[in-house]
Amino acid sequence: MKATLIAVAVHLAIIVIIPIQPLWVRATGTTVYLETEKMDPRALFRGHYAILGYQVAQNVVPAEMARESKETGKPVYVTVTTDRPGRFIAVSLGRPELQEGHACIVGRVRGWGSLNAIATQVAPDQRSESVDFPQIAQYFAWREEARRVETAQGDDLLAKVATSRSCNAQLVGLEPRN
Amino acid sequence: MKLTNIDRAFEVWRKQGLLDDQQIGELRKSLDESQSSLRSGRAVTIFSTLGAVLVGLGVILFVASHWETMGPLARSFMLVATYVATCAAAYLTQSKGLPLLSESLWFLATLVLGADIFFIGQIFNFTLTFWQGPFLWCVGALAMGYARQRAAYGWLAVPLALLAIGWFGGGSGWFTDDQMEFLGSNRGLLPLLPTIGLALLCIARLAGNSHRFRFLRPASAIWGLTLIALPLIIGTGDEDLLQHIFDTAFTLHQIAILAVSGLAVALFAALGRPSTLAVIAAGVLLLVFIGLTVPGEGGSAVGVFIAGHGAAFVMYILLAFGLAICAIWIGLAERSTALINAGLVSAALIIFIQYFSWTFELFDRSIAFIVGGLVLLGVGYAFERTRRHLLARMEAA
Repeated sequence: MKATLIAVAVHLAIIVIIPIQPLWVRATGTTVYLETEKMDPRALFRGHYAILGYQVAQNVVPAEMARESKETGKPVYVTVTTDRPGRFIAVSLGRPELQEGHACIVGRVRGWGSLNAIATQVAPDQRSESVDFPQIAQYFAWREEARRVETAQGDDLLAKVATSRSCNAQLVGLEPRN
Repeated sequence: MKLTNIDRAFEVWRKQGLLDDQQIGELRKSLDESQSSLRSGRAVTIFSTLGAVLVGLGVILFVASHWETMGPLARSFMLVATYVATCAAAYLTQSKGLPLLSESLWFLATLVLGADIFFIGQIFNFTLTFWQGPFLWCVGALAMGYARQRAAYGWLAVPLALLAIGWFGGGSGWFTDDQMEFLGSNRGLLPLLPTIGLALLCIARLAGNSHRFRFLRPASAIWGLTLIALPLIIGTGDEDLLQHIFDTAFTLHQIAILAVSGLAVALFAALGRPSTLAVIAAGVLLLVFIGLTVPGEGGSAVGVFIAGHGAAFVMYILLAFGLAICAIWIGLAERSTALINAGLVSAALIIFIQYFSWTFELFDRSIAFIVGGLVLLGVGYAFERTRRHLLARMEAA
């Protein structure tokens, strides 16, 4: 029975540990507001959600940096302003030194180029790529709410995001621009 | 009336004067009672496990149906309360002398843990994208498996571990396709499946030798054999397939997986008390599976070569068939029923695939179906006969 109690303790520890880091970022992080972009809805284990893309991260990674990121598996760091909505400042393969009024979010190069670049037949080695932010890519909602969010996405729907100095991000909520 | 082996044995021992009629009667009665008890125990386990799974699904559906009206704190409390209630029920049934029901409830607690992990992620829109969730659930399943010593935890933990390894370091949070990309990409697990399967087989052997990790053995062995056999057998379907299946980008993630697999084989050789034949087979297979991933122009070098040379493709098919036969041989040496069955099924599948690859080109379609049916019947007959013969030989040995 002792081993079972230890196993139960491990289970409870897992349940408690999961929210600690994200709640810490929420409580202590810098808030940024990002314009959203329309995406697609479904998670394998967790049901319905609205997938969020961010306008600030579209077509911002030069082809050379995108290639290096994909080959090495390194994430990219997008620096934005803390204005409402946030504006793009820079993208880098290393964690940036943040100035006052700036925040950063870690992300991954999307991998298949931007739809615009494909549509305009830009050569693959010349295409600038977009960035996904896995940490804030999913907004879980009841099916109807997820549909409403998807319909509203774009300039008028801002994501309120808490970011840490180490560029971790947590989605706090979604709100209308005005 | 058909005589069973036990009837014949009693008859022989009665004739030899080793047992009289009364003793035979008592032995029969004892056997009947133990059979009946065994059947009833199995029934309780089956009903309890099904019941536990149904209750688990019911709880998840209940929570889901009231989800919208609850705030984050109420939702979190509900999840923790469900887990605690399940554990309490398991503890109570155990203390009331209902061990089978109790085991099912402990397993249910581990299923509830998984639901909790993903629901917590959902409540707070947390990352858990993608590998962390399956990894944490796997840790929980291993911990409870270690405590309860039931194979069911192994069947839960092994696929979760594979999912966590596959999702590690990848995933953009996009489409469902993206969540399955690790099984179709040259940067994922696809080209490494046989190597991972070999590592799982070695782990199965090591777990079987350990008192506390024996619960992992059945799941590791069956998953290991499946992961080895599946890509190799699919590769016999067409000469172009191998170069794509084993096309490997050799990312750091993949190199780490290869290194850990090599370590598992080394531990198997050092600590698994295997026969010399099994050590040689494991070493050769490791080299062959890694060799298949060596890159060439347009995919795996070996695959590209095979795609360009018909004779090499035939050699590959023969090699895959030979591997299936070797599995049967090693299964006999190692007294492993699973290995014998896997070898026989693999050999049968290779024959089927070759039949359908060749005969539709060579025969009239109606003849192809007739011959195909006969081949299936013949292979089924040979499979059943060979399997029984081999298992009987193993038991006799």
